[in-house]
Order: sequence, then C-alpha cells, then structure tokens
Amino acid sequence: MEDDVVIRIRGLRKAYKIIDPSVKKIGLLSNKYTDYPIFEGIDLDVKRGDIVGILGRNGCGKSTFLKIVSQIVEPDEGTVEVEGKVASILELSMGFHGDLSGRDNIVLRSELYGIPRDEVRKHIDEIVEYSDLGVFIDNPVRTYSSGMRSRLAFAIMVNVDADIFLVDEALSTGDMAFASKASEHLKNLVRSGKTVLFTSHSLGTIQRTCTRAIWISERTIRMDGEASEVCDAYARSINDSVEETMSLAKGGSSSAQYRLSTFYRDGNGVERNHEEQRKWLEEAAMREHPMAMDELADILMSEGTAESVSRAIDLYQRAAENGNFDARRKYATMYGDTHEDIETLKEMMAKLAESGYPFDLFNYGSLLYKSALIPSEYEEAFKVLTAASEAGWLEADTLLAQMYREGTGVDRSIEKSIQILEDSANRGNSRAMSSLGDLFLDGKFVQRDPVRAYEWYLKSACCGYAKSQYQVAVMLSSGLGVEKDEEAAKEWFARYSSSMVNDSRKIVLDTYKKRGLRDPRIPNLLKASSLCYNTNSMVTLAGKYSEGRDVKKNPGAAFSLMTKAAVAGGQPRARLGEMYMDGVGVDPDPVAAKKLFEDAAAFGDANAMYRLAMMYKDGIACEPDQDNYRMYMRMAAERGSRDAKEVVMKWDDRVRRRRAKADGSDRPEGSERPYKNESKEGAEQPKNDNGEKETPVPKGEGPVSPGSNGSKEGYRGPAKDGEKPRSERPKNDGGKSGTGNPKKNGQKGNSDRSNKGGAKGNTQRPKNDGGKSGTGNPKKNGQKGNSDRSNKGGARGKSDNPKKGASEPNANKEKAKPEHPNGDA
Amino acid sequence: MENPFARIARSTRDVWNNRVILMAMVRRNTAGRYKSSYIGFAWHLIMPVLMIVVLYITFTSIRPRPLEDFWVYLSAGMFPVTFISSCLRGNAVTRNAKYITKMHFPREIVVISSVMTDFLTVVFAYVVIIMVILLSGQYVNWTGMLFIPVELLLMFMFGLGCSYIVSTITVFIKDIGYFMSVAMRLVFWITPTFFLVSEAKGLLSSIVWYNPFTYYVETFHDILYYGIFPHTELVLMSVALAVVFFLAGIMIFFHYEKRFPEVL
Repeated sequence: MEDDVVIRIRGLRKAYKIIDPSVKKIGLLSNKYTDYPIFEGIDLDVKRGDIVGILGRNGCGKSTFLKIVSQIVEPDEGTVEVEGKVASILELSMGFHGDLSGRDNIVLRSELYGIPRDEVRKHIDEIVEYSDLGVFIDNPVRTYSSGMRSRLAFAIMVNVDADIFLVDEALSTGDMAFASKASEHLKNLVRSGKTVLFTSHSLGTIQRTCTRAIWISERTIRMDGEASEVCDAYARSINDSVEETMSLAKGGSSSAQYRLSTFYRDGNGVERNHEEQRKWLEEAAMREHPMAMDELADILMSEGTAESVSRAIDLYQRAAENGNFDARRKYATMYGDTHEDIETLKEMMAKLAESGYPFDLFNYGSLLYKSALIPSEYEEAFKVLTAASEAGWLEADTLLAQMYREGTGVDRSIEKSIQILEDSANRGNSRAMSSLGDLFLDGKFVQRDPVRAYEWYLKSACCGYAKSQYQVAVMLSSGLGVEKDEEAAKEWFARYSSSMVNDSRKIVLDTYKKRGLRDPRIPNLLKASSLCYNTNSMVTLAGKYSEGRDVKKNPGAAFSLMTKAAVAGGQPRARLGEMYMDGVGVDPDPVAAKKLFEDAAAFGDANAMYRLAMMYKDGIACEPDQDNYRMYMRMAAERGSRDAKEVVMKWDDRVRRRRAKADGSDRPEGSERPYKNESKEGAEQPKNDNGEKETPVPKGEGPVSPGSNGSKEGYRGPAKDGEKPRSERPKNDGGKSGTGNPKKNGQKGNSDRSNKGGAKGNTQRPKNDGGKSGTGNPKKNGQKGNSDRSNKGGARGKSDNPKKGASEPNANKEKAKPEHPNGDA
Repeated sequence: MENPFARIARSTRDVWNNRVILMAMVRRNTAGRYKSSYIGFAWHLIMPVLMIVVLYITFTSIRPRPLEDFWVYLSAGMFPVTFISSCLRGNAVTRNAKYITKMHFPREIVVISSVMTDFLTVVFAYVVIIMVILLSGQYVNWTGMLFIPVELLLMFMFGLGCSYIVSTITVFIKDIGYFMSVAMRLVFWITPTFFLVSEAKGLLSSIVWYNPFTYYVETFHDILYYGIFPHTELVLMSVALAVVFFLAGIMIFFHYEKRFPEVL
C-alpha cells in the first residue's frame, strides 16, 4: 500500500438476501430469499488523516459500508485492504450491562475494545471526568437516559487507541454540548494522524467536521469530494427530487407540498400540471405555509371572481400574519385601497419612460416590480427592466437577475441569472459582484464554489462594498475558498469596521465644506476612507494629488489611486477616463477614456455622458455620430450636467424659434418651466453625476418630451436607441482584447489591482444621497467643478505638510503590496 | 479453502490475542448476572451448596432411597448434565447478535465465553462437592480425584463442540432452539442421573449407551461415588467424543460464521 492510503477498496460487490414476494418459491424448506445487490463495484481510497463523512438515504448501505471496512461483513467480490488497527463504534450503547455501574461498564466496554483492565484503571478517572456524568457514574447503567449512555460510551471511545475509527450515527444522539465535544474529538483524532469515517444524516455535522464526504446512492459512490460540496449536492438532490418531495409532501410537510407545487408549475422533473399545482398549493396553504398562501391567493386573484377574490384577500391576510412580506404589502394595498394611487404613479412613470432613457425605464420597471400583484404584472415589470438593462442600466441587472432566479415574470433560469450578474459585475457593479459571491457561497442554486465566491467577494470588497469586505475577512480567517491568512483577515476586518464609519466621515467632510470650515486633518480623513476602498474619497484624494491642493502635487499617485477606485463603475471610471483624456499621470489615451466613459455612463454618471457626447460630436476615438451625440447629451442634461444643459437648452431654443416661425405663435409659457424645474433639480441632486439616484421623482412632463425625437413610440421603441451603447460595448471589448493598445494595458492593470485594492462601491451611495440631497454645490460644472473637489476648496487654505503628503501615497502602495498574494490565491 | 488445522491454529491465536475480550465477556456473564443482588458473585459458590443440601434432604428424609449416600451419586452426575444441556441451548450466538454485527473480533469468542461461563459453574460445583465429600468422611480415591480436572477439560471440549454446532444451526433455523429445550428433557431422563445404569431396563438399557452424556456422567460417578479410577472404555469414549464433537463443531462454525452478521 502507498504511504498515505490506509483504506483501499477495489471492485467491491455485496448483495444481501432479502425476501422478495414477487419471486414465488414453492415449498416449506425452499430458499425464499433472493439476492439484493447493495454495492456494485465500489473503488475507494482513504488517506491517513482524512475525516470522511458518509451520506445517503436510509437503507443505501452506509452502515453496511462501515461494516465491510471494519471486516464485520465480508464482501462478495473485490478486496478491502485496511492498514492499522480499526475501532468500529457502530453503536454507542453496545455492550453496556444494565445492572453494572457506569464505572464497571467503562472497564467492561474498554475490554471489549481490547484494552486490558490495568490500562483502563489508569485512565478511568479521565474517562469519568470526560463523560461528565457526576454522581450517576456509580449507578447502574439501566437507570441512565439514552443521552447519558451516549456520553458514557463516547467518553470510553475517547480512550480507545486505534488508527482508524468507524463511527455510525454516533454524533446524532446527545445534547448540543456533547455533539460539539464529540466532533471536536474526531477532529483532534485526525490531527494526530488518525483516520475517521462516520455516517450521519446531519449535513451540518458533516460539513462542520469532515474534510471529505462520500455520497452513496444507487449501489455506488455517487459523489466523492470536499464535504461541503457533497453535502450541497446531496441536499439539492433531496430538494430537487420529485419522488423525495412527493413522499415528504404526502407525509404532510407543508414546505415539501409547496415545493412540489412549484415543480408542477415550472414543469421541473414532472409535466406541468395546473390542477396538481393547485392541489398541492391548497394543501400547503391549509397548513399555513406563507408562500403557498401567497401564491394561491395570486392564482385566485387572477381568476377574478368575487368569491375567489375574497378568498384571496383572506389568504393574503393569513400569509401576512405568518410573516410573508409580499403578502403583507398586497393585503395592505387591497385593504388600504391605495391601488388607484399606485396606478397614477405608474401611469406617470410610464410617461417618463417613454423617453427611452435607461434611468427612467429602470425606475418604471422597479416600480412595476415592487407593486406587482399578479403574474402578468410581473411579466410587464420584467419587460421594462429588460429594456432598461439592454439600454445599459446596471442596476436593472441586479433586479433582473433576481427575477430570473426566483422565476417571477419569466421562466426560472439560474444560468441566465448568473450570466446577467456576471456581465454587470464585469462592468463594475459591486452589488452584482456581491450577489454572485452569495450565490456561489450559498450553493442553493448552483454548485457551491467557495473559491469563485471568494473571488467575487474580493472584487466587490475592493469596490468598497462593506458587506463583502466582511465576507472576505471571514473567509480569509476560516480558510474557506482561499488559503487561510489571519493577517489578511485582520486587515479586511479593519477595513470593514472603517467602512462602517464612512458615513460619518462623509458627513464631516460635507458639513465642513458647506460651512466653509477648514481643517488640516481633512486629507487624513480622506486617506483613512481611501484605505478602506471608499471610492468617493479615493476620487477626491486623487483630485487633490493631481492639483496639489492641501497635499503635494503628485499626478502619479493620483492616477494610481484613481485606477484603484475605477474598479467600481460610475464616477471613478469617469474621472479615470478624464485622466486618460487629459493625460494626468498617464499618457493620453482617448480609446481607453471612451471605454471608461461608457462604463460610467451605464451607471448614470452625467460627466461621463457629457464627455462621451462630446467625443461623438468631435469624432474622438470613434466616428462622429450625431444620434449618439444627441442621446448622450440629453441624458447628461437629464442627469444634471450643467454643460450639457446649456447645450440642450440651445437646441430647444432653436427648435422653439423654428416652431414659433412656423406657427406664428409665441413661446408657450410651459416651455420655460421645464428648465426651471430641471435646474432646480440639478441643485437638488448635486450627486447626480456620482451615479444612480434611486428616487423616482416624477419630473413632470417637461424635460423629457421636447427633445426626444423619434422616441415617442413608448419605452420599447427608444430601447433600440438605448441599445446602441450596449451593442457597441461588446464590440469595444472585442477590440480591446484583440489589439494590444495601451488601453488594454491600462485595463489589465486595473483588473490586477482590483484583486488587492480598490474603491468604494458606487452602489452604496444612493443611501447616503437619500439623506442629504440639498448639500449640493450649485457652482458645479460638468467637467471640473465636481462637488467633491470644491469640497476641498474649503480646506485649501491650510496646506498640509508637504512631506507627509508625499509619503502618504507610498504608504498606500506599500499597504497594497502585501495583499497581492491573497488576491492571487 | 484453508487447511482446517491451520484455520484452528489461526483461530486459537486470534482468541488468545483477544483474550481481553473473552474475559470481559465471561465476566459480563458471571459478574453481571448477580450484580444487583446483595451477595453478588458468592451465589456462584452458594448455589451448588444449596443444591446439594436440597438433594440431601430430599433423598434422606422426604423420599429416601435404599441406595447408600444417594445424594453423592446425584450431585456427582447432576452438574455435567446441566452443563451440557446449557451448551446445547444454542443461543450463544443469537444472544450476542449485537456484538457480532457491530464489532470486529474472532466470533468464536462468543461461543467460548458462553461455554466457559457455564463451565465455571461446574468447576465451582465440583469444588464444593469434593469439599463436602471430604468433610463427610467418604472414601476418596485420590488417583481418580486427580483425573477430575482432565475429565472436566474433556467435557469442556465436548460441550464447546456441541455448542458450536447447535449455535450455528440456531442462527439459520431459529426453531432448533425451541426443539432443543424439549429434547433436553428427554436426554435428561435417559442420562443416568436419578437412576443407576445397572437399573436400566428394556428400551432404556439399550439406548443409554448411545447417549454421549452417559460417558461423562458415568466417569464422574466412578470417581466420586464408586471411588474407583474410571473404566478405560469410559475414558477412551470421553476423549473420542470430545475430539470428534470439537472438530466437527468448529468446522461447521467456521464454515458458516461469515454469514452471521448478515443473517442476524
């Protein structure tokens, strides 16, 4: 045998004799048994130091497998080689003599394991101590509860010396303290070079304890691999198995009944069948399963008869009482009769969405989604969101992915869901990255893959997404999906806790700016939040470096900071694009700049849209394109770019003048208003250029209608317009990877760095914004007068110690370096 | 197929290596049996004494037999019969099914330990009987006395062989167990315990020597009651029966033991 393999099984076959009534045999003494195969050709190697969990349904042969390994049962065919002494603990309470005291039983039982009396006597106090039975140890074992028996049995086992331990269902008895003690002991055994095989139905125990798991099914080893993966696959198969669910459902498990109804609904493993779906929903709803009640009520609602509606309302109410949020909202909607209100809101939103601007489409779609009651409404929401996503709105992606995953408004498709998330994540959507991490770590919908989960969490964390920073830290400290690294974990924990106070930092910075206060410590605050990858701060700091305000001018540092920040989409990418355009800290590269602007524009960054529009106008890095020029310019104006507004205003003036000439009528009063509205909004939303603002404020009809030439066919027509940036983007990607232009290098550097350091998540910002829309700086001008930068204007007076300023970026770099290995791992 | 003698040698080695388990099982059967009683293990010694007292009282006062010292005759033959009967109960394996299915150890240990437990009772009984005989001033044949341990061992082998056979069959055909308990009654009455061989008449006289128990019982009668060295035929038959039954038993056992865990 090789050094490490302690159990080697080859071609194992085993059949039991069972009574099979279908095989008729005549005569009293004739053999009434028929062979029933349990294992057909099992090969297995177990290495020293493995702790192997064995999974499988009842009667699949788990215990028989252990018995074969322990040579209690002989295989019919094949070989089983075992190296070392085997201790089989197939039943904890085996061999207790009820009349003997616990203490005597310790001796007796140990002897049955082959330990001589003298030896046992030496250790008996330890065993008694470990069993924690107190005074009961001197009472007859027949007076013990089953839990106490297990404790005693396990305490004895701890003293058994063997090389291989086979444990059958042993950890399933006893209280929690005992169970954890027991599994800890098994781990200790393995640490000291022993090998453990044990069976359990508790997936949790196996996941916690085992390094490896085997799933026995259909007479062979169905799966063999890392414990958590096998457990997930096993759990999934139980959940996805129609037969399994059916038998559970028939047994009266409401969650199984609900699951079964979804099988019938989606045609998952069975034919689609609405009667069956309905039947099981009714069953589950009868047992107060909230989701089933909700879904049944949805069906009743769509039937529309008075009777079914009243029943549906009743069901919603009960589901709501059981804690289903969906049902609560629906019930509240119906009860409170806010429906009309919402309808009005919807109509107004729909009108806005006619513009075809991705932002409006998204807002409309999410409103539809949030207020949907019945499947057809979800389908509508899905259509709108798809249009928004095709128009390049990243936030729509997350919502769409969720709908695909849950199968609301569209056929359920996990692949689609993941694909959308990945696309979105690759374009810098930190929330999508985090969702991907969740998916892969959770393993409920896809094959669990901690390594990929870690990668996504890390990317997201580098965008400053606090939740992901915490996840990364936890995974590093537990060695899940990445090599264990306590040091790196500490750093990430620090970043997370620092991220948590970023809001406060932001408040300080904004308030200082607003009140014109100055403080030499402001750059320090910025540095601190840059260290935990807050993109805002990184951008602001980079601005300071590039202009030499408060700190020593250092375009190189500015560029490297900005590159880190640009892992996240939105404003940082726009600013990096500007740097590429203007050649700050890097050679000018319009192609790279354009790509970055496009990404930022997809996040709704007004500056980026404006710059992009200008590029299309002047034909920089692309062919001049009037359509795109106009669309981006209008979008930029919508999102509050001053420069863009001026341009758009000029256009509209021109249109009006032309119209005035043609009609002979004077300027309509209303036409003035839109711009007022708009500029007011611009003031109200100073952060518009930062990215998405979620508040679907109905803006009235003004700003949209005048300019949207040829985009009045409704939201789906303009979606074609909106598609353009999207369809171009992939092309750009292709070009990028095809040619070795400097932009590619720039991007490369980006993604490499994204593994170690990064930026604050853009997606977090709406939260911040919501609280403080009003701190705006009206002086903001599209390109340069970024609010953040004018922020610093206040602090400019007291210039920082130049030495410190110069040393800081280096410190940043040094800080980033040690993280490299983690990122690569 | 492994050479039978090599197999026996291996088995002996296995049992020896696992003697801790063997002793644990014997102890479990003996010490465990009287554990909740007040005097515990002492019952092992007191039981035969009480038996002898009962027999003495019965056959001297209650139902006197003309035969001189009939209680000695009775106690000398009684214990071998109970020993062999219990060996033939056939539950040695089935009773320990738990161990057979859950533990890896030489399975002959369950049979050996079970026979040993019963054997211990016999040994204690003879110690007591011999002491009583000495105390009561009976005539003692010392060479015969020295032969007792040898005869006990032969009887042990014989009982073990019987137990192997019956226990193995019982695993597969549970009915044998019930049948044996009835059969034992019959065997008891055709074994010369309550009667002398010379008294046997008719059918009994012809079948009494076909009963293998008779040879062991008669040997002890010869030594303890008649006070002579046992007849050569008896000794030879004791040896022959012990060897034949032991070999036959162990062969059958080895042939079927592999299937025990599945059947039990």
